[in-house]
Amino acid sequence: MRIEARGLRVSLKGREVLRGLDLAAEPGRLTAIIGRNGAGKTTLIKVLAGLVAPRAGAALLDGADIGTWQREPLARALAYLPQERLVHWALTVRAVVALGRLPYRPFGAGESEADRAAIDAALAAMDAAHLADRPVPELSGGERARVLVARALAQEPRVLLADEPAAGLDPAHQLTLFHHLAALAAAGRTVVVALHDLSLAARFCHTIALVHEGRTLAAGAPPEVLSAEHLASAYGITARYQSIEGVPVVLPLDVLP
Amino acid sequence: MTTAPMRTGVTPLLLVGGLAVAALAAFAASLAIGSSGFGLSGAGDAAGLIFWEIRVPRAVLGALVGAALGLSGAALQGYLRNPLAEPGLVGISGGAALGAVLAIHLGLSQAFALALPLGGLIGAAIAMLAVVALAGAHGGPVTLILAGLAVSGIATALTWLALNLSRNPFASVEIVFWLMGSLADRSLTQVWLAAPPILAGLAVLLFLGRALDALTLGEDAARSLGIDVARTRLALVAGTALAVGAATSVTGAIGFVGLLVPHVLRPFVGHRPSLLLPASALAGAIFLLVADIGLRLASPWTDLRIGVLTALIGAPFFVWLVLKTRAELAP
Amino acid sequence: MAAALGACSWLLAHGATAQADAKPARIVSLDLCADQLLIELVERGRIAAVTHLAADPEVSAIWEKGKGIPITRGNAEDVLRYKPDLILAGPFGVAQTVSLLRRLQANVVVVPLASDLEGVRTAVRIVATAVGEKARGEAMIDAFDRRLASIAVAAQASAPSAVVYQVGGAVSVAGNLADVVLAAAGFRNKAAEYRLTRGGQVPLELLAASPPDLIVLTSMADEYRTVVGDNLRHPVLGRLRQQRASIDVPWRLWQCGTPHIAAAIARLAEARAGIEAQRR
Repeated sequence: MRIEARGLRVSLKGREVLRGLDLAAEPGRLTAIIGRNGAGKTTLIKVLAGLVAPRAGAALLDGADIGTWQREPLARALAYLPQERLVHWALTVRAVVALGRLPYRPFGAGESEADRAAIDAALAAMDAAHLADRPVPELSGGERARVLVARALAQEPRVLLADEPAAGLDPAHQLTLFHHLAALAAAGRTVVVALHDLSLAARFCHTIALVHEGRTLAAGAPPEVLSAEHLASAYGITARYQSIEGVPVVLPLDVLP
Repeated sequence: MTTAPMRTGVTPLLLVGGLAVAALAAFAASLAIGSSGFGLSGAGDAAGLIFWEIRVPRAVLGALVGAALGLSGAALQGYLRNPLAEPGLVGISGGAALGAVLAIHLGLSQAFALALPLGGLIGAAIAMLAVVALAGAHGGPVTLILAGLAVSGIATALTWLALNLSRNPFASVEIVFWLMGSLADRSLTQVWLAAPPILAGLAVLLFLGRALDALTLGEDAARSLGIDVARTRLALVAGTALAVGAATSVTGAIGFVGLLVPHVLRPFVGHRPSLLLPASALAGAIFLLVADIGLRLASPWTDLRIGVLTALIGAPFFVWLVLKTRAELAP
Repeated sequence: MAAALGACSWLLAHGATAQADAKPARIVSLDLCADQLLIELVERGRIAAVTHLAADPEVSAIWEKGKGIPITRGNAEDVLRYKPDLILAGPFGVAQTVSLLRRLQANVVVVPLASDLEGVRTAVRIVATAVGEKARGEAMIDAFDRRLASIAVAAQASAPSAVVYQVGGAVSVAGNLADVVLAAAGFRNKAAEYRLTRGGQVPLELLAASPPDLIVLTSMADEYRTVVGDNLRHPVLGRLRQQRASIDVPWRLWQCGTPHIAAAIARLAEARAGIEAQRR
């Protein structure tokens, strides 16, 4: 399912955050949204998830304005993983992941076989199966992050929107997560990820959208977007983009005056 | 709902089933025990009169009001994501009492009997909206308690004022009833008045389980899981207003039940808000029935109101809870 | 403020000498029971002020006579503006007010609570002496005694039982005036047989389990639609009243220990006669 933004204008608390932003994320691709702090990445993801209504412009899911989607079909089609890793009550890991199946369980229904399978698959994908009966407060930050990704995966969405899913994960788990996201994309889903780690973006994402001052400064394949001038205008840094053993790396060098 | 046992080894079904049995037992005990001791005494049809017109209303109201308080406490805590929320502390019972007092002293309940639970209902709804507006779903525990204190304080002051203005010679006795609650000498009339709105409120609140589970992940994630948070909030206000409003209008404000019961049960339901709802309703009924039985047995030696008893048990628990929350929030 | 100062200084000048004069001519009463005795013993012109309860039909046996008399709210400043030469206070009056008035050399007479028939006579005598109407006081007591004699009953072992059942389940405990009135009318006060709560209330269940021969209500029920009065509207009480005898004796007749309790005793005695007739 294709998800796109056309001319989005969004204001929050009187401040204009998105000023005519365009974006397109295709199925089968892993799309990254990068930009400095405060550029509007989180707001953009929320608009794409249908949680914030734009003042002007539209977010389109599968060609239809997201505001016209019914709640239940939307919940089955699209999973949103927020940046804040909130789990208010001390549920077990399995119970948290099971929440991802809510869109498939009408009121009063118990867990079906399909539900159980989805939950188990999500736990396995995030290497959290051994944590299934542990209460969430007992987990480390990284483990908790993986559990929440598993929740989104359990939703079996066509579109996955993740806001900084890899923040706080150790290198092994970061790589595993992105391998999995890439695999999801390869299987035909649309995966959109907001992140800060430019190397991860360069390595795993087919498309990168660089958001600067509420607009898309550049969008396309990693080498074009992560050019020296784009990084200078968007982040105010100098950086080197190169390949080490075939793996792209972006190395920030210095802050520009 | 998972059917795997929770950490404590008790499956949800077993817990709710066990509580249901205990509730029936407490109800039966309440029917069997009265001021005249165990069993029934009295000649002729006095025994029947006592049973149907005194004991049955008291037991039924005890169960319904206890369930209303327990369930609304669990629902409030689930929605506000705040373990310190409960209808008494948050000012909803105070608002309901004010509504009921106004219905009586403006003569409305004499013209139209349903005006009494209706007054309680409206009072509770207004108090709830005021607290949610003041504290919001994003307010921390402290903001919530402060908002509740403000609403409670205003409601109590206005209740006093209403009683004073009506030149009621029993004003000071009556305010004790409204502030401390009582199940004594209730009749079937009050049962017929209060039971329908309480049952309606219980039903509305029980349907919130799914939404409350989703809200564990925060409002944004819950919305993306397909939950209509605005409708959930409306249902919460309506359900609590119906259940607590009607309950308070016939028994006065009884506090701490909605705080204590969900908190005690939470570990046994794996902290799942949805499972906590039916469990809290049943446990609230048990708690109130048992407390009332205790009061009746102790009655020659003490004149305690039921609200005082629940406060004696609940307030120290509340203090402990505040200390625990403070420790968790401390930097 | 100036008026209060003026009243105080006048009081200091005249207060101490009041008793030396003839009958007090500006009397203020701060207590309902004293109000009632005062209004019946003294002509209107000599009464400066009474409490607002004196004209209240709920609690004052002579409420019609109490209408039109100026009212005092009972605090010292308000009392003093009437420039009283005699102040009648009740036993439970506000202590600060009474002591303040005494310190200002006002002539304060405390009328004791009457909790039995002799207490009624004592109260009448105290008020009568204070207002300088001893003869009228004795006449009032004589009339009271004559009325009692006409109702007189010997206490019997088989006397029927009665209970005064009030708002909140309060009953006529021993030592109260109501208990004395029941005895004077020839009843056995059944309140003593119930297991009462510490507040002196009987749970409706106990009343229903062993009801008295006569249930006495004090007709305060319908005027005050309060929650605490719910017990008076309980269906069980209604049923008891149908099954047993019940009588409504207005509370104003026995709120205070004045000779008007004789009216209450008379009504109860009639009820007793009715019950005894039915037994035969």
